[in-house]
Amino acid sequence: MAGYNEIRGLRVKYLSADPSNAENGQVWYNSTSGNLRVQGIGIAAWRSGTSYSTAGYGAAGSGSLTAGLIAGRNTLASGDTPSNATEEWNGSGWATSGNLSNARYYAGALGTQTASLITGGDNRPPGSAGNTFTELYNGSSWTSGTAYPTAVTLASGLGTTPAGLMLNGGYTYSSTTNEYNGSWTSGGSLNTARRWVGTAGSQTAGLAFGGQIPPSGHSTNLTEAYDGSSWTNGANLNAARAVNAVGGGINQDASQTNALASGGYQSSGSPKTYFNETEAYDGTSWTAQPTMATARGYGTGGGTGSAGIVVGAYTGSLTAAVEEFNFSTNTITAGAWSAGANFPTSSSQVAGAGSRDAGLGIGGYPEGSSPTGKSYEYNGVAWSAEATLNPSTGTAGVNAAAGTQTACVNAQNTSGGSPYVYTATGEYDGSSWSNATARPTNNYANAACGTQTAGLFFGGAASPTSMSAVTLSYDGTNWTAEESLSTARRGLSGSGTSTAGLGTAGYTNPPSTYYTNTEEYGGESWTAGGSLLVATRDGMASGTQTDSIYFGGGTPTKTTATFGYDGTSWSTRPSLATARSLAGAGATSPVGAAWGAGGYYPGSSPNRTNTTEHFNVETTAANPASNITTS
Amino acid sequence: MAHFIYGTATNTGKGFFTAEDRRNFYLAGHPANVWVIGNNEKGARWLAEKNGVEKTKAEAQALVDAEVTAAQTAWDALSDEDKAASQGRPTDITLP
Repeated sequence: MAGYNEIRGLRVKYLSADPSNAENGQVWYNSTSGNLRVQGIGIAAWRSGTSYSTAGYGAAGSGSLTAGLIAGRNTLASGDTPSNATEEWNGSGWATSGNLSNARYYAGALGTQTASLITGGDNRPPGSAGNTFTELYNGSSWTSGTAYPTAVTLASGLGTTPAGLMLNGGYTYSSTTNEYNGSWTSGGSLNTARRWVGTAGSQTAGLAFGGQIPPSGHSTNLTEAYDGSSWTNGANLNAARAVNAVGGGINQDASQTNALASGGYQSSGSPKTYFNETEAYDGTSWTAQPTMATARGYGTGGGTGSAGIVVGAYTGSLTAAVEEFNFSTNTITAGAWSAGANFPTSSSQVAGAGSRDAGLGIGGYPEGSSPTGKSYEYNGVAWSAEATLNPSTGTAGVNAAAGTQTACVNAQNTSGGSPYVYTATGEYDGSSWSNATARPTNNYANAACGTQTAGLFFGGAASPTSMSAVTLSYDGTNWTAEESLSTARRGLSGSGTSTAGLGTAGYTNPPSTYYTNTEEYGGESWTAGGSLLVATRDGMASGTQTDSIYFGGGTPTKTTATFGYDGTSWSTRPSLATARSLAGAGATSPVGAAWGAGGYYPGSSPNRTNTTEHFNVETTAANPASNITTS
Repeated sequence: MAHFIYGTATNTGKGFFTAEDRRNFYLAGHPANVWVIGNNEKGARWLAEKNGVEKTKAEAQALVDAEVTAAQTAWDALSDEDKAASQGRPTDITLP
C-alpha cells in the first residue's frame, strides 16, 4: 500500500502545534496533543436551499446545478392542477421565466437551461394522462417542437437538444427510448420496462436508474448503461425507488460514471413510503451518502457524488423546499435574517441610511400620533444618539434619505397633517440636523440612493392620484433635474449610487397597479433592468447595482419575501421573519450588512412594528483540522 | 406529526431569533405576538427559551383575527382622503 510520502511527496511533519496555514489534505503529528491530524477533510451534507415560488410536485428538471430549469408541476396535493410555470435556478436562487404553452406535470425533459426540451406529461384537466406535446426552451420562452412519437407521461430525458435521449416511461411502463436530433428516431430498448427513471449522461454514454416496474408501480433498484445503441445492466441501487428526478432530472453535471440518486418514492407498501436516502454512483457501484433532511418523492433533482439538488416534491403535503448536496472541504452556511435591536418607536415610513454597523433610522409615523421628528443611530447592537430633525420644520416626517450615518441628506415633510409637503430637506453630520436647499419638486413616497454629496431622489407622488417620474440629483448644495424614470410610480425602492443606481418595483393609482419594473441609472439615464419576481410596492432595498437585495413590501399583502439582484436578474433569497413594508433600510448598505427597522406590520393594531432584522449572507469556510483515528 | 408549533412571545430585539435559529426551523411572526414555529426539537426549545406560551392553531388564529379585525375597523373609520393615502385595508391572515 502506498504511504503518505509516496502519495503526497512529503513526510508527515512532527509539530508541537497545528500549523496556521495548513493546506487541505495536509497531515501532521501534533506532539502536544499526541494526535495525528489532517486539515480540511471533505464532508458530504445536505443543507436547505432557496425555495422556489409555488409548492408542487412533478416538475420536470433539466439543466445543471448552476443553471437549472424546472417546468410545469402539479399544484394540487390531491387531484390535478397542472401548471405552466417555468423557473430558472442560478445556483443560489430561482427566477421565473416564460410559461409553457401546455400546462403539465410528469413531463420528460432534457438539455440545458438555454436549450431545453420538454415532452409528454400529464395535463389533466382538461387533457389526459399522456400527450405528445414537445416544447423547446431558448432561455426565455418556449416554442413548439416536433411531437413525440407516442403519447407519454413519466418519461425521462438525458443529453442535449442536438443529441438527446428520451425514455418513454408511461403509466403502462415501457422499455422504448427515442433519440432526439431535431426530430425523434428510435433508440435502443431498455432491458427492463419501467417509468419514472433517474437519468444521466449523454446520448452515447447514458445512465438510467431506479423507477417503477409492473405490476402496480413496484419500485426497482435496477441500473442500466447506454452506449448509443444498447443498454447493459449495471450495479443496483441499495434502495429500490423512483428517485427525485422527474423528467430525468437536473442532470447536466452527471455522467454515466458519476451520478446522484436522492430520496424518492415507492408505492408497493402501505403506507406509501417517501425516502431521504441518498446514493452516489461511480460507474461501478452505488454508495450511501448522508440523508436529506426531509423525505420526499415526486420531485426533481440530480447531481454528482460531490454536488446535487432536490427540488420541491411531496412529503405527505406539497412543498416548495429545496435541499442542496455538497461534498466539500468547506462548510457552507446558508444565509438568513436574524433579529436586531428594536427601533425606539413602532413606526412606519422610517427612512434609512448606512449599514447595519453604522446605520441611521430617520423619522417615522407611529400609529395614531404625529411623526416622531427624530433620528437614531444604530451600531448593530443598539439604537442611540437621538437627534431632532431639521428644526425649521418641527416634528414632521421624512420621505427618503441618502448617505451614511455621518453624512446624510433627507427629504422632509413640513406639515403636521395632510396634505404633506416634502420640498424641505435636511442634512445630518453625525451629531445634528441642519437645513439644506429645498427640493424643486414636491414628491412623497419616492426613493433615494447615493450619498449626501452625490444623492439621487426619484419617483414618488405629488398626490394620491398623481404619480411622478422626476429624478433629482443632489451635490451637497444644489438640486438638479435629471432624466426621468421611464415609468412614473410611487413606493419604489432605491439602492446603489447616483452613478450606478437601481429603482425597483412600485405602485400607481389609478388604476391600482403594482410593478415588477427595475430601472438602472447610469449617471445620465435610466435603462430597463431585470424584472422583480413579484409585483410589489413599499419594499426595502440595499446594495449596489450589481449586488442588491429587495425585501418585504406589499403585494398588497405584506410579505416576507426577499430577492437578490446580480445586475441582470432577480432570484429568491431567505425570507424575513416578519412581513413588513415601509421600514427603514440603508440604500447603499452592502447586502451583507443590510438591515430593516420598523415598518407597517400586516394587520396588527397598532399597525406598526419596532422590530429590526439583519440580513446574513451565505458563507463558506474551510473545514477545521481533525484527528485521524483508527476506529 | 403537525408541521408547526403555535405560540405567543414578545420580540425583545437583538438575539430574539438568530440566523442559526432561522436555519434550524421555520419561524414566522404575526400580529398579536403570534409566532409560527417549525415543529422540531430546536423550534420547541426556542419558544420555551423565549418565555413563550404555546397555543393551539385555533387559539393562535383567534388572536391574529382579533388584531386584524381591530385594524380593519380602525381603517374603515378613516376619511376617504386618509384611506387613499394609506396602505390599504388590512387583509385577513390565515396561519399555515
